[in-house]
Amino acid sequence: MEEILVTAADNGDVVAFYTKPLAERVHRGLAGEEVPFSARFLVENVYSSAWGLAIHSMSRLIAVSSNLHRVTVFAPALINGSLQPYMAATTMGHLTQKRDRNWRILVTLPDAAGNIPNISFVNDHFGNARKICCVDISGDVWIADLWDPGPVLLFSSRFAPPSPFGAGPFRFDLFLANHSN
Amino acid sequence: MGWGILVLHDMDFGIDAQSQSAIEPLPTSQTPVTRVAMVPDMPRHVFGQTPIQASPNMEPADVQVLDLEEVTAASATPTTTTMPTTTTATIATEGFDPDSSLVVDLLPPRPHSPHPTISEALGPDAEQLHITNVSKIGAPTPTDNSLLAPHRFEIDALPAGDDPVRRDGNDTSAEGETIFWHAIEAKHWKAVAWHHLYGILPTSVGLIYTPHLGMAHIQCARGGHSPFAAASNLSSIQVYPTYAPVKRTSPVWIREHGQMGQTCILVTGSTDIHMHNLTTGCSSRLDDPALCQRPSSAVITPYPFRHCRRLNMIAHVPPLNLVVIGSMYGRVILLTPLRRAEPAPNQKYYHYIRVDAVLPSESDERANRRPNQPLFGIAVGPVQRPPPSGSFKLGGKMADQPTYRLMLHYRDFTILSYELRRGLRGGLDISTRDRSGELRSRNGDRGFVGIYSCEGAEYGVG
Repeated sequence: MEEILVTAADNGDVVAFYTKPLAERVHRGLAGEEVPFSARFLVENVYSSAWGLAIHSMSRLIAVSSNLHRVTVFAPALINGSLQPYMAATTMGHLTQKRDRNWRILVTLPDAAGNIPNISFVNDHFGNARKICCVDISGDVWIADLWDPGPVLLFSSRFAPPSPFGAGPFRFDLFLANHSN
Repeated sequence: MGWGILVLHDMDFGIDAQSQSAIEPLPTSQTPVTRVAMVPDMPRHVFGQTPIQASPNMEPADVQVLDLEEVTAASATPTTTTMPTTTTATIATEGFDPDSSLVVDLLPPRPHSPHPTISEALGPDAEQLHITNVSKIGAPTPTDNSLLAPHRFEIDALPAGDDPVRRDGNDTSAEGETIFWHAIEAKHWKAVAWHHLYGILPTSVGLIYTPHLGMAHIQCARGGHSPFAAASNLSSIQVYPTYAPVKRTSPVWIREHGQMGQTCILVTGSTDIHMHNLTTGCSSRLDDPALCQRPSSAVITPYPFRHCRRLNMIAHVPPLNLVVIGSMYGRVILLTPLRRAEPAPNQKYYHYIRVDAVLPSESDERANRRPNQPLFGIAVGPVQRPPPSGSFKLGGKMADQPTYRLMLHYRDFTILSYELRRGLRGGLDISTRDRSGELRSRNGDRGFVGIYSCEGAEYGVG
């Protein structure tokens, strides 16, 4: 498993790098060597300002939220196929989970949603990515399944605090609280 | 053998016909149709329409390619602004042997430009055109003001073992399999055509899955060959999904979210932090002014930075079971998510947030080490064992005890660095390194600490 660096730009560009070639290039470049730049392994565009990023290292997914009120999940093909256990390929979701092709999973939030400053994956019991969880700038939390067809669910009521400067980006994170106390 | 015409508008495309005898007219609107590709027996339901049977295996044969230079030169002749539908039908019926040619790519005149150049016709990257195996099959006559002569591409045969779905393609009982099969096929053909036209395989031509619709699409970006192309809407997949605000006690909610275990969501606002329990639907709000607003209550004098009052930096450190939340106002708060070892009988107060520290530490604040500038970024990374020699070595080993370094990066390039590790009984040890490199504990001046439960405002200190 290698460390990656994902950047999201205002024009929608999403570029992912391996950090090891980056570091090598920096350090060998400081020594005066010419190092070919081959750290990029994903160059995509989400067609609007990209904000939220989420990386799922176990399921090999990169999710990007854009100002189209849409979450784009890049599911690149895997050499050894899916890491996830999948059932017989009877639905599109199962076929997508085979991971033998590059897929781009799109989840478009309904009109009621706003821009999405942050996103996060929701795992199943095995630690695989199961759902995508988005928060919009008014504080609504939306949850959508990545594989099985189903509606986008609205979780929370909005809690927009009064702000004289408008609603700022509301960030959120998701975690499994496994620390016993 | 049936036929289909794949019409690619700027971003949209669809299939206009399935059989050679029933070719429907192409759209004659002012929309510039940039490319027309003919794909035999293309099923409609690739694009989410009615499902039909899978097509038999294609046996592609040699197809010749028109010299692109000549076509472009011919396209400089004045042409009509709309595309006659009859021409398309003619091409579809005359120009090709349905058994041998698979994809044809046409370059119609742009309505807005009677004298298109290569770059106008093909996009800004047209100079990179590189076509192999080009042979002339005839130049269009200057009087031909209809569609230009087609490019025809030699289509490579699909490798036999290329598509695992195709191998067992005889079994088309599963509808999803059929959709996938055709989607793969169309994508492959399209990619091959792009490869012949532009010399590269476009990464932007991909398969799209929309789980909230349960449908697969094929994506084609404008310009197609560069993901850095101008941003444009994906009109073909502009969809409006269904959504449902569901009560958290409803069976739907439990069915949807019961599988996620005890997952909590942390939502941060401008000054406060909410924790939602996805399973129980309980929410709490961590907005005690002494604790949560403390990171965002740091005073920043320069007026242009007053909009920075937001808790917009979050770093999750699973090895330490730590969440670092930073405000652009200059402080970070270190949280430990907790839960009871055993569920309480009434499931109340099951999840907690413990505030471990607020940084910069009290001593740093007193020493004015925090600049009067916004916090621009936080970074948390493992502290690695120093290499034996002074040389740089990638991939150093972690220290024996998981230790992470938290760096606060301010606008004036001030960087405050703290080292974090779990101490005895799950407590958080915070230390800094002085100029000589020696660790110095900061446990004594970490500010306020407290424990908040997920379900209510009740919390305990300690």
